[in-house]
Amino acid sequence: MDLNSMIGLEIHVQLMSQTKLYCRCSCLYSEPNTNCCAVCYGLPGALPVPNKYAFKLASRCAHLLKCDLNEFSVAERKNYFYPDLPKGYQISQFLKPIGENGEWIFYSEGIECKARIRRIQVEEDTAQLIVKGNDSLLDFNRSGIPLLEVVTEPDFKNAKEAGEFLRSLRSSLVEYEISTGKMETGAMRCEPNVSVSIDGKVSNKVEIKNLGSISGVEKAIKWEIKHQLDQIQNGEIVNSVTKGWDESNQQCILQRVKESTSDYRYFPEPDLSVIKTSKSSFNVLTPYQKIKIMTDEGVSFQMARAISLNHRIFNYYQSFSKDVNRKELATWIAGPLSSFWKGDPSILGISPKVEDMTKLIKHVNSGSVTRAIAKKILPELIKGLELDLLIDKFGDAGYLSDGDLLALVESVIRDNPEIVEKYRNGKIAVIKSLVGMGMRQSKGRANPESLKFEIEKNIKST
Amino acid sequence: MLGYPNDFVSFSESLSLAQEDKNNIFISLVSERKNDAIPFAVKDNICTLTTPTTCASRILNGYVSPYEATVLTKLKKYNCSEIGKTNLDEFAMGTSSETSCYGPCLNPWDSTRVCGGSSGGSAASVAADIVPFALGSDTGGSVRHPASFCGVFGFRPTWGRVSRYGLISMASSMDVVGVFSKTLNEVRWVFDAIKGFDRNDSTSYDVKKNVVLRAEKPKKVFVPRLKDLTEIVEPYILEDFEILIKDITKENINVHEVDCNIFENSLPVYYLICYAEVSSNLSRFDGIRFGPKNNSHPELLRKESFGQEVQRRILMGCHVLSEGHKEGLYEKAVYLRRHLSSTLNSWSKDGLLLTPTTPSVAFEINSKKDPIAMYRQDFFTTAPSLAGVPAINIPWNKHKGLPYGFQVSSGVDMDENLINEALWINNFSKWTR
Repeated sequence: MDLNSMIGLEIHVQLMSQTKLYCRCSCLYSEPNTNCCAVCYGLPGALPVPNKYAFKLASRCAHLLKCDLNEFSVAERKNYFYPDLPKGYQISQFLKPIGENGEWIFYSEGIECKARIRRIQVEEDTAQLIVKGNDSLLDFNRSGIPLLEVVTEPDFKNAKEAGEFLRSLRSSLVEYEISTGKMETGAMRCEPNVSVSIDGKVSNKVEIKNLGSISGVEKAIKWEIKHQLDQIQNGEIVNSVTKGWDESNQQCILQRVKESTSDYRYFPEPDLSVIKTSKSSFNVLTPYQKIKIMTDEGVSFQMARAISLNHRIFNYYQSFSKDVNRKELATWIAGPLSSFWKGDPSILGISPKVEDMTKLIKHVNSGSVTRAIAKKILPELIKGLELDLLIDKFGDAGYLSDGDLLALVESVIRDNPEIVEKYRNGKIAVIKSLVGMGMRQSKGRANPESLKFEIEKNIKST
Repeated sequence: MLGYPNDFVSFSESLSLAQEDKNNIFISLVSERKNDAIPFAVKDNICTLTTPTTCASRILNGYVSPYEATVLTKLKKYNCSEIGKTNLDEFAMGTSSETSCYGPCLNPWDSTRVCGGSSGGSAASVAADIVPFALGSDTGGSVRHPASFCGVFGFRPTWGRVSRYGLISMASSMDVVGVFSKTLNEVRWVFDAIKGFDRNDSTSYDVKKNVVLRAEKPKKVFVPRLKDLTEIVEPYILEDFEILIKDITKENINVHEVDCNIFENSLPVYYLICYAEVSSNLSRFDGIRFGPKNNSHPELLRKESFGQEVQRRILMGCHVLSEGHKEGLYEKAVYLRRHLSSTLNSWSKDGLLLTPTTPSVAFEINSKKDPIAMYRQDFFTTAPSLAGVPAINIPWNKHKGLPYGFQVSSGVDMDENLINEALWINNFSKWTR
């Protein structure tokens, strides 16, 4: 049996604009129904006035995704009824969206992947419908916030590919200030559609909504693929339906059955003229290209991937001189530094100075500062203390001499006869605690590998 | 003296007198305006702050707009003060002002007859000397048609030259705010006050040109082929029209006859586009936010609150845009509109288009039950609407005491020139009070 799955993505990102798409209301978060005007409420007689900056951001995204830009794009009305849609239509795009026929190259698990972008279009967000008990409440602050919809071809073969696509795309959207990319606040939303094929026979498409994170997207796709394969193997038919991801039960649940495709009765928005947007031009460096640069410099794929997903971290990496050992640098950045940075967006503000870090790495490479001591120094360095002073504080920061190391080994073995006994009886894992004790005794000056080697040698020889 | 026949539906806050005492209201109102402000009337589909804006529909019963239409804000700067809101066909859909939830607006010249529409109340209020000018809206002829039936000037500007912000949309791509008055000087004055770019309407724009108001002789005049007209207009109108053509020919004006098909074809094209835009524009009245607060289901509430013609246009609009019909109906209409628009604009390079405005004088109330017969009232007025060009009704003559007018139309942005040419044509008019 030849099993395949096909996944396409529809991504909505809120554009990083101060004001709404068709009026001058603020896009900032505020108390419900405070950033609203006649246009947001869809009051009779109100007219849309396009926000040129939002279209400029969309043009930037078209450039990023290598789309053909329609310099004269057309806003169209998408007509449907829903309580969160005050005008009864959404001003979207249809026949002439701002961008078409793009592509995005990215890595998934070390393998190069390409997703074709069918179209990107600018549209207004709807109001927010909040259900509280028996009440349905509407917050029109969201009504009219500029959205960019990115529609891909069904080019993803598994959940991981879709997830990695989203991670790398999000990173660039943030870098080029197109969107904040925050899925937790709804600034980025993704609706995957999933179908499977068995021996070339393709099942119906299932759409999944209500996904709050990229890992949620991956889990939902994974679940859905397995579910569809089970259905087919049990002789059931996969129906074209919309499902929602239930985070607490970790499964997709049916939301609504599509009886027929909806007819949105699109037509050009007569309240707006054709929208002219000029082409963006700037040098694009995608996470894919960043990973290539780093792996070419000898950095491992995993580390390169981690660094590529945050442009500030990558820029930090790039700001080092080329004579700094890149592999070593990446190890420091992807390892200890990243754990300091976790969750803090203002990375550069709390990074060690490039010259200090360069020196530190050189010390470690030459052995004049041990790796363990360097790690201890790092938090102090971030606080802004002088590197040389910090090293001096450790007195001798270099590795122990061979003689000192052997003396250390003997003392560790002498002081812990019962652990040594366990080791002799075959519990080899206890070696770790012996090494740990040695490291502590040496105040980080022992080389852990040599220490382990010498302890083992010593035990075996006696 | 002319009567006050159901033309106003509400009055500005400052005039909270009993409505029954209308005669007194107008006397006090016209004579006691503060600072001698110029009073004017506003069609009830243009948003005002102090009076409800209802579009003569139950669904907007009591609705007061939280903001004011740009045209009103502009007029206030010229010391004008609105006295009240005038009657119309529900949501401006009609040519008789009969479909109003307030009941039909009667013709000041004969109260058994309609005053035309849809801006019937505004036309009547000017004809009845209540106000020197009034604002209406014109989509397919809603200013020019009642102007013809009431015997006043009715001006439809180029689409985009006057802000639509605050005009409740019917068919957005053709809606314009228009002006009624008894003289072309006043029409021009009001137009100058309300025209120009508005930051709240992105389709509005300024035209930089300086055209002084004076009678200007057109170089060339396009008229519908006279022999085609016999089946379309009443004989007394045709007679006057032929006389006018003779008169202007004597003035060495080149008169060029055009095929009547352009008008015949405009009607279905106009209605298809109008239906489509109506169905979308009125979807905001979804039965949740607007309309009487009762326990009706939203769908039922719409059914109860919208009149027959509004419901017909919404349904037809959904149909012409629906999959499988869109291509043959809506898209074809858009294609034909483009063609028609370029034809009309190409004529305007040499001169103006002259036609009767209405096929007849005002008809009796409740006499036109067939919607198609009602639509044919727009025979001459829809072509300029589709092309977005300016057009004016010139009150021409009366037949058995009932007025009728002729329409002149020109090319995009030729508004000021058209008013000048209308001034010249008006010299031949037989209009007397």
